[in-house]
Amino acid sequence: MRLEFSWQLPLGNEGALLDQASWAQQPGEWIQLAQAVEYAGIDQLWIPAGPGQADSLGVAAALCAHTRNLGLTVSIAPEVMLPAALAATAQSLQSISGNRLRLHLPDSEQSNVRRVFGEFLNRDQRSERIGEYMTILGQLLRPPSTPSSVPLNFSGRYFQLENAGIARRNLPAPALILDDSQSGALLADHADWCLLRPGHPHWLRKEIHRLQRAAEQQGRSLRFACNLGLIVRSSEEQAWDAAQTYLANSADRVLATSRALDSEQIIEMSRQHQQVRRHEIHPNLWRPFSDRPALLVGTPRQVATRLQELHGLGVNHISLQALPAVSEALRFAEQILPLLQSQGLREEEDSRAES
Amino acid sequence: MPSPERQPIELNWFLPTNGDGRHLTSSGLPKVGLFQQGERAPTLEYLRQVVRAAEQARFDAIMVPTASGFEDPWLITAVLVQEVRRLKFLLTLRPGLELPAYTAHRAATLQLLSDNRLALHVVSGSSRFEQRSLGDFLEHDERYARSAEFIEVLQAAWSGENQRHHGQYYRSGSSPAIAPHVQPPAIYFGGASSVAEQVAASHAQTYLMWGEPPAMIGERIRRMSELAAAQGRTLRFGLRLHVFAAATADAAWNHVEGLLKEIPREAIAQAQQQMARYESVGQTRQSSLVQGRTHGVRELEVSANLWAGVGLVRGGAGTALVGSYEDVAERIEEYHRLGVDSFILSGYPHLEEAIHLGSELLPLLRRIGVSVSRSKRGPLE
Repeated sequence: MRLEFSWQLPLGNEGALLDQASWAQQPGEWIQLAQAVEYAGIDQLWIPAGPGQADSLGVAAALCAHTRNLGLTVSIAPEVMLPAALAATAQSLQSISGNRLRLHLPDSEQSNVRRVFGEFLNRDQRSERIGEYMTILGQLLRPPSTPSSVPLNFSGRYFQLENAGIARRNLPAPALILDDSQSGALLADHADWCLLRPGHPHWLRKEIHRLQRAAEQQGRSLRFACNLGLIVRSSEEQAWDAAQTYLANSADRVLATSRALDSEQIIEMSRQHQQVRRHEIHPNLWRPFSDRPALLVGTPRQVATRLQELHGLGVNHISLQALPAVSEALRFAEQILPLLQSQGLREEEDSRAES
Repeated sequence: MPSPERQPIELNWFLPTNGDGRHLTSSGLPKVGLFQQGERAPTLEYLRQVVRAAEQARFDAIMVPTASGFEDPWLITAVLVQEVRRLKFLLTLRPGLELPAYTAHRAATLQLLSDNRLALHVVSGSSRFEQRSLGDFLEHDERYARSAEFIEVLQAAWSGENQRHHGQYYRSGSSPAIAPHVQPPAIYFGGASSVAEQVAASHAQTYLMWGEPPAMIGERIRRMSELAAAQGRTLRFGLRLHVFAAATADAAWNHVEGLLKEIPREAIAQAQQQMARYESVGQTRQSSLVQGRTHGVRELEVSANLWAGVGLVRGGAGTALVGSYEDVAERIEEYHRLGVDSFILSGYPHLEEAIHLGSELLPLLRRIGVSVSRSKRGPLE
């Protein structure tokens, strides 16, 4: 199966306060990056969700006016709106975008959505709630021509519905993406894609195998995606120099915005500048912070080799980020995509409809 | 009781996000399945033309409606604010479907995209049937109580006070940071029941009504002004109306007579049956305008130039101003003297009629001395 890519739209650093000028520039920057990503031949733009950032659904709609074929993967926290309301909104976004949508429902355990928007459920209740949520969302996104669908009555512990979905339109359902931190059963029942935390290939292989088996037992198939940062330079030495600069800058930024690290950890991090490759958990796979996406560091050929390796493990979508976003997206497209193309990893699938 | 310092009149248009056409059944609900041929789907390619026509006609704002089967107003607004530079967007939303802290977040994003051209129109719900199909099981009066709390949490997001909210309907964490210097959107509020009036008096900036004869509107304005004054507040008033205007009164009346005649009697009965289930005081008031009247075209003229025929087949706003351009301008001026500062107008189809009324009616309103707000600041600015 083809290896596809998305580029992450940076919507502002969580917790970092942007000044007035940076906010005002944002819409222009979103459009610029979306057009660069489409031009570069990268398949999708991934629009993240989070408090303190612009609303992902609004940004996605705004970008429909400036792009034609670019896929739009939109993260939206399932805590913020009722499932039937999200289903109607998603149908409308399918219609406006010409069926370019995928939906990612991030696990609130992994984000600070709950802290900010408010949520008073314990872990078991949250798991039950997301199960009900996905059941409703999945049914209401199915086109009305599907048998056994209209109208939907639902009486759960968290959500109720009567005669839902009557105004639903005949549009293809967007693929649904859930995080690997959710239960295997939830993923097996409701997800089309699973977003994996990038880790060591051994771990990834086991994780993919486990989740794939669970899905197959439900008669479904699951595809896998993961997030990676990129630091690509023409020589390996330059790439690791850039990684060191990245670490120094990140340490400053973490120091300025995070309450999670104490000062000893900060000092420790600075000390490690000299040993930047200590965090290389697998060749070219670098994870300096345990709570942030890992990065691929190296030359175009090295990075292409790692991407090919991930594809071999069963990963079919990689969501990339690097700064400055426009120039790094073009660098990726011009220097790495051709290497993957020559390996046949970017062939369009012939018969299978991509959702 | 209009305040002595009157704001300039605000003239707004309407975006038909569930389709458009030339017939009385072309916009709004229920759609009774007539005249499907030639009806226009609410595609972006069409809606962007309506928005552009409204901007060219110098309307102040365009109302973006919401209901099941309509395009999502947040998404449509995000796309279309980028099409025009001056026109404002009055976005309709229903509390109860999403968290108010998230709504604040969405509104801030649209303010950013539009350079502060967003206002919000808060509608507390539709029929019980539609609310339940979306997962909202609160009954009518409780929905208004929730709307009040919703607006409070929404506005608190802008106040910069990082307070936790523990109310009856919402418990929020620390509010998310709103983009700096993005303005809070003005709140328009609709609802004709007494509980709606109480919430509007304490929470709205502009109170919206569907078109009723001037005597009835005058009475509501007096009552609402007193309710607001009792809370130390003042309210603006808005009126939602359809318009069928032509060079002569005869031409306008002949046109609506044609529109009325093409509707089969059973379609009217069917639509009336559906509307009876809306449990809306405003809807009951609209329907009562035509009760006991025969369906002759002038029989439905419930006060000078105010025609209730639209409400025979369309839920919600069911009255139209019908007459020559001068007639319609005079009626608008009359409502303005009663205290109405904001008009939300529709015409069929919305693209051609925005252009038509922009060239024939809006200049007349300026000429007869109703100053159209172009430079002065109104709540939409």
